[in-house]
Amino acid sequence: MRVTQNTMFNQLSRQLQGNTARLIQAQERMATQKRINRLSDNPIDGGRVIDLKGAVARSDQYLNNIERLTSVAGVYDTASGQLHDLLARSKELLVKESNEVTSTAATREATRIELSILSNQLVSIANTQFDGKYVFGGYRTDQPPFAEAAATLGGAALADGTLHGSARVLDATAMNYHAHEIRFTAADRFDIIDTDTGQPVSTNQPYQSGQPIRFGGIELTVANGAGAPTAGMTLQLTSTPAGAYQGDSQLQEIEIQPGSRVPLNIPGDRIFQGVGRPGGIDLFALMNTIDTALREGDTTAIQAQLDRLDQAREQVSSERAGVGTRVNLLEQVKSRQTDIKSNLEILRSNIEDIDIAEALTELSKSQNAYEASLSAGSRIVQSSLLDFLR
Amino acid sequence: MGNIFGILNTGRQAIHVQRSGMSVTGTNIANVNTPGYTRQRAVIEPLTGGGVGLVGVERLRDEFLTARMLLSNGRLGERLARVGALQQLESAFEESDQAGLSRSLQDFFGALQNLSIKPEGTSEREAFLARARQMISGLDGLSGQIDQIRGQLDQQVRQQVERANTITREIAAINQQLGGNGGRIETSQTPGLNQLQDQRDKLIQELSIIVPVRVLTDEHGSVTVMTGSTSLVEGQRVQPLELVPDPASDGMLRVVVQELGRPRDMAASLNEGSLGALLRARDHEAREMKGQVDRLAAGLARDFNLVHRAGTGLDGVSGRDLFSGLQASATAAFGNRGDAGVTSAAIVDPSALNWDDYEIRFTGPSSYDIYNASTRTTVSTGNAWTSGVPIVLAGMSVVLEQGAAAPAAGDAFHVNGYAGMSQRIALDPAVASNPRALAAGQSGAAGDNRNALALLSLRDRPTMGTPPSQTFEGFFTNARVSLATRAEAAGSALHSEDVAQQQLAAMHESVSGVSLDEEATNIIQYQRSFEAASRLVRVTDEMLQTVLNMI
Repeated sequence: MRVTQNTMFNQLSRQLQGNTARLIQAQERMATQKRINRLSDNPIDGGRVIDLKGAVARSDQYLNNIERLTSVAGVYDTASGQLHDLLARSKELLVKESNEVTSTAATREATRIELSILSNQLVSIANTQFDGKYVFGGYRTDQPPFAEAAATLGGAALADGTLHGSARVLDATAMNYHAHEIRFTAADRFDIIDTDTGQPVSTNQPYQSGQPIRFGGIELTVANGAGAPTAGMTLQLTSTPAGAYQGDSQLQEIEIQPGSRVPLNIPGDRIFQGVGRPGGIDLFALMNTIDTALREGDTTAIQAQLDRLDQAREQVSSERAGVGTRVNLLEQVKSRQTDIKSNLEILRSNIEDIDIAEALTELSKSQNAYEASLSAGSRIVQSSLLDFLR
Repeated sequence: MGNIFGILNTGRQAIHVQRSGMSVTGTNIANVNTPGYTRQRAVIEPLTGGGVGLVGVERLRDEFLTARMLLSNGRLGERLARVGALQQLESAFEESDQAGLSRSLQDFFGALQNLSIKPEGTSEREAFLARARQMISGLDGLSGQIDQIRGQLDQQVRQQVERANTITREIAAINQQLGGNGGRIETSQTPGLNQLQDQRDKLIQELSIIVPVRVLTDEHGSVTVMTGSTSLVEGQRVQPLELVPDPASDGMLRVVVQELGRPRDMAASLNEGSLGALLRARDHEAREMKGQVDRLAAGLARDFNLVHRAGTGLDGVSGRDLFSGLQASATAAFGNRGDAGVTSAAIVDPSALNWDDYEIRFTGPSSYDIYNASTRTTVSTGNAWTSGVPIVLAGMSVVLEQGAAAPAAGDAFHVNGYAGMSQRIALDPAVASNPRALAAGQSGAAGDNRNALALLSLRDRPTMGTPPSQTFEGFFTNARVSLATRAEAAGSALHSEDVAQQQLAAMHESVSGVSLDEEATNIIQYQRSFEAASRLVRVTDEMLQTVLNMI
């Protein structure tokens, strides 16, 4: 084949170009420490790298979820621990009153007051908040799941606007939750009757519009509205003990690994009211029953409640154990997920990252090739027949 | 014979011929680096009755090799343009670990996870909406970039068509200038013939990079340049390529030629050459990638809306969409002969939607078939058509109305439920302005996370692709990988064509290239011959002198 100078020049420039391209690629790999710098470098491996990175990100998310679940589980553990102690203390107090010999009206009242303080604590445990939400409300996490003791005032005179009035709880320990009636005997006088017993609480009290009326741990405010009270006008007061459940029984489930969810919460009705548990105990009702028994000095009833306190403790313990089991599960999943994540990382690195020794060798090889072709080229292009025709 | 003056004449002719040879050598040396220059050689022949004559100057070329070069040019042009376009497209889809649509999708689902853990949290709700907005702007940005690339490709198509037309006009002009002398040897009667032919060859070579060409030379040396079955140049007549915007393809330009007064689409003939590659990159790869981004946006909107509708916001309201912008699209195909037009296209049942491309194909003025172009299956045939009566397919309702003329058999309408979605998708206004409206639950209770979990499960639900088999993230990765695979394949096709072209160029150079060594040898050869011829004249002169002295 006839070879011309241009053939040589063309070939030389192509070779130089090829060598430069290889050199640049080797340099890029060294600089980024990656074998695949754009997807088209190796679409199949590149696609796997994308998938692996996605999987790592999901592992991170799961680990994050587990972290979160673990800290929430801690809240439940603390709360049920407090609950357990509270029930133990209640039993301790009550045992003293179960003995007919040592128990007197005075000790019973002291115990009752102490127990009703514990009842208040029970409500505040039941209304525990964590990270801005009520943890025992099921799905209803934006409002206290258990009502405090409450009193409401009603009556025809309020409904038609003749009078204004409201009631609020001052001291739950002093309340007996009986229904009461306020009876006006004149425009400026009223009686208070306990309608459960039919006994008057107080009689012939002076009425002054807007002046608060206090009795049995409750404060009433009654004021003139469109009109003023007249003789025979009645207002009804009802009160409810703490512990009415306002949440629901729903479980908030969180994904901790693909296709596997665990509950984040314990609904309050399960742990505090024993819903869904054979022979489950409503702790609030129990405390109320104890309160009544102490008020009435009914030793048999008091003794009966001791067993129920034990059962209540068991109920709380079993929920607490459930929390423990859940934390163990979380630990297991966490360590498995951490393993998975590091395996994924290794796999990704094997595909994507360069072997530095290999890449360095590649770089110096392509550098050598480039220099060699430069020096060979500079010699070829020097000579021509014209040089020798002088 | 034997006449002394005859010998003198022979010497004179020889001097003339050797000088011409030297002049050709000079031209060769002068043009050693001129692109498209073909090595020339003086054609010399012995004259009857003695002596030598210059027939002319011929170009040294190999017709067969030239034809192969044209083919190779077309392939190389195609590969080069394709690689350029695909690299540009791929760069739009390039992502770092920190940014990009894949990352936005991941973050979006991550925010949803966080929302499922704390559905009552205002900041979790805000964060989810922010991630959704980020994802939306990622979709919009990506399809904007693809549009921009398509616009650039369209611009290049225009430039290349203009260049091709300039070339064909020049070829026709040269055909005319050659005036029937093409293909002959340049003689003193036809000066500049070789240069004209070189120029024409160079133009044809250049044209062959843009469009595939076949060259036929007639007995007068006039060339006909064919692309497919169309002659772009026939003697002095030029068939220009024309550009017609296609409304069915976002107003992108189609390359057509006028045939019997009707435009004929050239795309199918442009299998090689850079113009075809640009058209394909613009109308297939880029459009397809845009379609994939649109499908992703539409898929997200449909699936999230269906689940979101079933949930309830913190304000107790349910049945709200999460994303807005879903819309059916119907466009008349390019080259419809009837004048039925699209009156409206609407989505009537989101749950029946899919992301396939449908075609309503008219088989007559009042009957049509429905064809699924994605699965290449016919959905239904022989449906009766009445102007203005909705056609319902795959959850969409399309109303076509005829104008002055009824639709003709073969007219088609493209229908789909995703086109342009990546640029329309937005958060539903009710949700965008009020994070509490986000339906994380199903009961309206603050801590209810059932709907957040249901939305989250969409992450693993294979609702994308034909048939549905891919998750959102998988679908997007697949789209990227399939683009990268094509870019890689185009790169290696370019590489192997480059090698082939290199060999052809070397072969061409070996036939038509100027070798300085050879020309240097020629200089000596002609110089010596010139000297010898001069000596002949001198000796003859001496002989003549001798004869004269005899008198």
